[in-house]
Amino acid sequence: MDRVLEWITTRLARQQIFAYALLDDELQVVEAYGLENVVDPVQGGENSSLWEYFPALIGLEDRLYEIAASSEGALEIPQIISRLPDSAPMYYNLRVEAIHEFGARLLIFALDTTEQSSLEQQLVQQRNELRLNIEARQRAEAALRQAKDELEIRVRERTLEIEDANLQLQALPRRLVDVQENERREIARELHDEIGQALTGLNLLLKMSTRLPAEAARYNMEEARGLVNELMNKVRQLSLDLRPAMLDDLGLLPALLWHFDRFTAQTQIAVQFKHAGIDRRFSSEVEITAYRIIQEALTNAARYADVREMSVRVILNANALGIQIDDRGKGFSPEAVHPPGLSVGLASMRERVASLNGSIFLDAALGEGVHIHAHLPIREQT
Amino acid sequence: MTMTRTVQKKFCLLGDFAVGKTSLVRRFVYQRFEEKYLSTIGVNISRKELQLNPHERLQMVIWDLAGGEAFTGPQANYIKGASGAMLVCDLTRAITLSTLRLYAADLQAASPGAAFVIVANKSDLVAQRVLTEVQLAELAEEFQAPLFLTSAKNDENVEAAFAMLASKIA
Repeated sequence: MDRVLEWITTRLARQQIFAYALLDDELQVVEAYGLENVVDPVQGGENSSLWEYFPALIGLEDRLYEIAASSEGALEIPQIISRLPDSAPMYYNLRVEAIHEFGARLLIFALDTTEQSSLEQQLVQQRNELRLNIEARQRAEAALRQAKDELEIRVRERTLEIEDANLQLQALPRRLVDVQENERREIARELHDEIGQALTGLNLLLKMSTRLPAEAARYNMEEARGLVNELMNKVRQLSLDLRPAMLDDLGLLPALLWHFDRFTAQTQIAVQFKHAGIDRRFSSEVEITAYRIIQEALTNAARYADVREMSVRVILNANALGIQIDDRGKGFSPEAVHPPGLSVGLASMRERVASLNGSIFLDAALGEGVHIHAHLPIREQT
Repeated sequence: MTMTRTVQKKFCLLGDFAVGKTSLVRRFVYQRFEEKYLSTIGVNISRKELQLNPHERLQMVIWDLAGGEAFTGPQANYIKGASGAMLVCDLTRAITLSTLRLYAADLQAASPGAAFVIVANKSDLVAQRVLTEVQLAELAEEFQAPLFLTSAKNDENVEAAFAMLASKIA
């Protein structure tokens, strides 16, 4: 043993050898020393094969035979970790060299590198932990960038919404004026076409009556009375259209019931009406807004939807009035240009709701009817 | 009486640092798991025997190699003579998947014909997962290798992955 160690130390200038094996050209162990330092004795043992002691050489058999046969070359496997029971982990380099001494052809020896390798392990440990920290930081930064990008997109979208809302707000007075002017135009037309014509006819009849014989004048007077009755009806209709007194006197529910009866009589369109919690008074702004939305929706349906039936629901929630109006008529494409009456009517609805800080959604499609949902916050009267 | 033959074969675990190679071996061989990360340098060799069939046992000589190692010079011997390899990536770190191609190329050069199994480890870290099934399936297809999603921590699929590797060279 000593002679082999001395030979290795002097001839190969190797220190810190703690195990070796001398092998013949058949790779049979001729002499061994300290192999218990390399391998767990439970796995190895006195009669164990070379591969039990040096599992690191499994798979390299051809190379070992080659070195033994040629008497040249060497093979090294650096930094093998040995974890024997009840011992601190140690590192060693396993080296195989050709030899012509001691009746052997191969010398396998283990060089202890524990001190150097342990230091290296600490350095690698620090380097890897640093890399993991950097990777984690990069992942966090990427997530932060993504969140920032998403936030910027949301801010841009919100800014556009606010700009759009501002534009609508700026246009509101103008549109209110338009709506008002449109209503005035309608009233003027009614006054001119209906009332004015009737009054002209009445004036003519009365003038003629002064020049006619009594019998003929009496006939004219009957006709004049008929015209006056017609005029009174037209003025009442006009007045009701402008603002039904019932709404102010009795409230929303009676006004709606009266309006539905009148609407069905005029249009032959039945209204399926469901309500809850509205048999009470609300602020006049809420009552007139709710009434006008429903009135406008019914008028639009009568003009454009071509239906025989509609559905209206008015439900009082905790602090808001929910309105839903549905028809299953022709509908319209939201992107299309609408008839002026419809456009003004829809704008009028939106503006009335906006003035109460409420919301209104219109869902329409060609052939799918029109569905209107409005939400009117109520301020309880004290 | 029929004799049982035991064959010894070398297998390598390849992959970037901190993907869990040592944890997989520790779970497979010793049925243990440790939370603390300890970098491997050089090679840690373990052995485990499997019964392949009534007449044959396989002693898997498992080389747990340091991640990020360049297999040149003496280190080339780490992967020479390997019968198979487990290519290990970390489901929570995308870069660990792409580097597997480099490790596979090194192994194919040093040990032509070696069998592969692809292992995507740390399946227990569901919230941190970044690798997708598609990415993993593409790599498995590229190497014609079985794919296993494992957790050394929860002992999920570890035994199955090693058993598959053993069966591929039996």
